[in-house]
Amino acid sequence: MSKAEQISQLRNRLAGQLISCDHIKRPHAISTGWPELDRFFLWPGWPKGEISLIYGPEGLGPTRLWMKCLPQIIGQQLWAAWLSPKNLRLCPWDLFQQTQSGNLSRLFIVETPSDQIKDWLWVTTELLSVSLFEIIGCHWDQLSPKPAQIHKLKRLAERYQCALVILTQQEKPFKSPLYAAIVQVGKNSICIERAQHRPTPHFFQRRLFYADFMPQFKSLPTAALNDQEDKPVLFG
Amino acid sequence: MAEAFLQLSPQLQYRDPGFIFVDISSTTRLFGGEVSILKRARDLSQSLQLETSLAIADHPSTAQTLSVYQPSYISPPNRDSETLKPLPLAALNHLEGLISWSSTAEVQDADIREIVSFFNLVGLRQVGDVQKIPRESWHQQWGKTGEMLWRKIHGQDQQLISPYLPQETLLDSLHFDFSVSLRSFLLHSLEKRLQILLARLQGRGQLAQKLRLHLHCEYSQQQHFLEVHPALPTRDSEVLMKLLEHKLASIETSNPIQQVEFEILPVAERVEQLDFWQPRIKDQDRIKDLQGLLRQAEINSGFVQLKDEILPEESWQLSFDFMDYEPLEDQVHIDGQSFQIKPVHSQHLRSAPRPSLLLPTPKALSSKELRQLEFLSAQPTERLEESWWEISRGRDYYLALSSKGECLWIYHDRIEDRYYLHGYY
Repeated sequence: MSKAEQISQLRNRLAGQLISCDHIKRPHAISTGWPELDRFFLWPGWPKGEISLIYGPEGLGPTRLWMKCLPQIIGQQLWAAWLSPKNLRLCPWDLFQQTQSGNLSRLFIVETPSDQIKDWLWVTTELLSVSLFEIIGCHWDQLSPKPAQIHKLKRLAERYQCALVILTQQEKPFKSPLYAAIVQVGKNSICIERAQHRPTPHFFQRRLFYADFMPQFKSLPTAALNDQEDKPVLFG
Repeated sequence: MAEAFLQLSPQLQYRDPGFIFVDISSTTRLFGGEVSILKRARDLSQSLQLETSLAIADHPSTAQTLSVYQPSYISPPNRDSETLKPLPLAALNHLEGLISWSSTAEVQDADIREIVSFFNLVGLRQVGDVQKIPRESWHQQWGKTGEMLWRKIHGQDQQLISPYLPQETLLDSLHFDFSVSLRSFLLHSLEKRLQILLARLQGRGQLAQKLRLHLHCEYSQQQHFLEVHPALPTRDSEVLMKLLEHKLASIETSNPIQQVEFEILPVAERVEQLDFWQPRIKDQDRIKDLQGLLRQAEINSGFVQLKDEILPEESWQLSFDFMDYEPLEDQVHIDGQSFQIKPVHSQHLRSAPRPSLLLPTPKALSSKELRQLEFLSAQPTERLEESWWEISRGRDYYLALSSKGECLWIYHDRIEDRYYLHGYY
């Protein structure tokens, strides 16, 4: 029996259970605030009940990529939490400028003074178990959790249906098979290293700097600017 | 322990040995009937790990007897006399009610046991058999005791239960025969006792403001004092146990704990009108609990409070409650025909580009690090200067790219003539 015939037989047998592509419901997610990324993912954003990893040097914008989801969440009166590392504080002014109302009453920030993974996990567990936050961003800086610890967090994220996004500056972080999505923020591109049901790696080209970011740069020579078309990708 | 049952009714009386009488006539409807209130009482005793026997009747004496001979029985209204009929004559011993036989003035002439023995001798076996004997005969044979018994078996003994006002402090102590070093075991032991105290609190309609513990060690008379202070008064044992667990983690248990004394400082419960459509537990309450937990662990947390300050690191702080940002605006004072304008300077700072992450303490850059940076402009993008007459350093901010392509926020301290890394875009 040829493959075509086998497929035809299967289709006839499962006819009652098959649904068209238009009727497939995408899993729940929190929009990343970046439409192209939302379209690429199976989930329309950071998946709820899952752990996602964003990694890359800090100045290339991993935190800014996470923050892009906040204006929408805050606008919908949903709760978000941010867990800051010891030596870096989240600067809220950029977010204040992005949100239309400037109301940041739904953003809860925790500044962990410790650099012990045990303390971080404890705080993250408590944030999850409040069962209040739609998304939690954890900047783990240089910390490396063990597989069992990630497994515990995954269970909690699933239980409380929270989108847990871990950020790290490590060049080669531990890529647990439990991470639903892995995003590497690079100098010239953003690489989706893992995404369920999607061909990976997938690259989004980016420019390091956007000429309209500040009006005074318009007149500057384009030494530091990329010569790609004038379209903002991440910054701006 | 009886206080815990105050949540069923404020009219409660306790009597040794271990009898609790609750007048539920006015509160039964609130709980959805006698069956529901009995179940509630059973659940409550199970949660407190009490071995109880429960019954409902019109009179305390009947309820006591039923709790012995027919546990969980609910006597129909005005039918106490019929309910007692099939019970054995020994049940007369339990017809005490609110006042025990030993403290009843009437029970002096004859012992109840003698009366029961007498009836057994003449061949009477059940309460129903002796109910047929007229009141006068009881009185003639056993005086006031006989008359009182007659009233009790005919459901005519009126005993009123008055409201109970707890006065005792919420103290408890725990002594270990074998001193404990293991924190998890200590917590487990404390949890049971804490739940009893919290049930007492619930009965009183109060919340725990503070939980104080004195831990007495086995050697050297060493003591630890712990104080758990939730962000909001609570009765949630889970929250208190989490706070306690964190506190206990900070003490040294190499000198094992032999005795624990703990006390709850109560505060009156908030009385508020409940909205049918609103959840009982509000988001804000959950946040407060979380904040209390984190504060206990000395972790800074809260909501962003934006401030009109020039220096970026001072332009916001984390506050316990969220407060709306009210930006300063130009003010115009009109007095008669004259007016005065007080303009606000540096308004543009609110819309000035800021990095996503800021270093709490700017990092001084060495000349080698500086050489590796590519400045995006020859002139500073911003010049921030505040209180030049006091502490101002005068900062010229630049944007620069690192060798990895990182976009950095850098400033030049004009007095020190040094460059500092202040943030990452």
